[in-house]
Amino acid sequence: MKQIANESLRVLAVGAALGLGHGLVRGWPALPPPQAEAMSCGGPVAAEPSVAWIRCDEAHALADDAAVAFVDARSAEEFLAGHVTRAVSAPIEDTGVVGDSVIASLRGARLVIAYCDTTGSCARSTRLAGLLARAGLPDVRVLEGGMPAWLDSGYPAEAGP
Amino acid sequence: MTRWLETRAGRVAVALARLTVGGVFLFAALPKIADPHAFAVAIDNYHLVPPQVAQVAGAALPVLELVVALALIAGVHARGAAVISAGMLLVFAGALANALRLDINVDCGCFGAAARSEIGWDSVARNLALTMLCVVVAVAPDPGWRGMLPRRAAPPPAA
Repeated sequence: MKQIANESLRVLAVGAALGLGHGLVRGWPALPPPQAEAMSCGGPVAAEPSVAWIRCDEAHALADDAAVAFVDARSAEEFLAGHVTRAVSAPIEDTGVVGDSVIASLRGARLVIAYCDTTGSCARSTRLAGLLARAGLPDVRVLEGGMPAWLDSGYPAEAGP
Repeated sequence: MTRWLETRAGRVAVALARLTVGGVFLFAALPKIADPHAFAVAIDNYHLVPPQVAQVAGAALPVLELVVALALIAGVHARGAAVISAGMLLVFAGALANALRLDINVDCGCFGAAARSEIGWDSVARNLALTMLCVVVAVAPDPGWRGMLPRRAAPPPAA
């Protein structure tokens, strides 16, 4: 056991030293600045770097703030069946774009929280958040766990338009 | 299990496990070393570490992968390399599972930018399977090339 630990430390030390040396010699890789960029559902794409996540409990704590808006990325049918109270419907999967009326209704919000059902292969809420950030909304976040986590936590939801 | 690993079949199995994990790490490390920028972006997209950490890991982690791969293939400090590679594989599997749980649509970043692939539970399963191979190498009595040689019979006890 002691010999395995010694070997592990040696391999780790050599790897870390060479790795850090590699970074110092070649320079640390630069990351792209945060930018709003729409994502495609079809292919393997990078997540939107300018959009942060927000936990369900954090979002719920802010839900009564009139300057905080929820945006539902799911289909219109799913929205009608049940959505976060006061949420705005923006079913981008149907159209691929966010309507001007939706963006106009969110202009005054200091924080916009996008969510979806999280069960599909496509991160609709992340895509929607990217589109909203590109449209100039100052603080757009994605709800961790989406609608299922919101309902599981017993937070308020409503059906209908 | 360690008894079986001392048999000829066991030693061959250990060598295959060692070469498999080493080969995968070598295949994963080289494109990342060639393009550390793409790997740093891939790490950053998981939203698990601060961007500064992603930058350092983008440059350093592929070299550690290469060292581990060479140690495993060469059979030098193979058990230590297996422990380190098992740790890395478990961290990678955790990051993948977390992204899948949150439905984050990210490129795996597993084999560099040239081999882009969307993450899935199969990626997690692959990492866990490789971790099991690492465990086999780590517990083997002599996983290096010397372990492949026929064992000499023990000298008869002195009369």
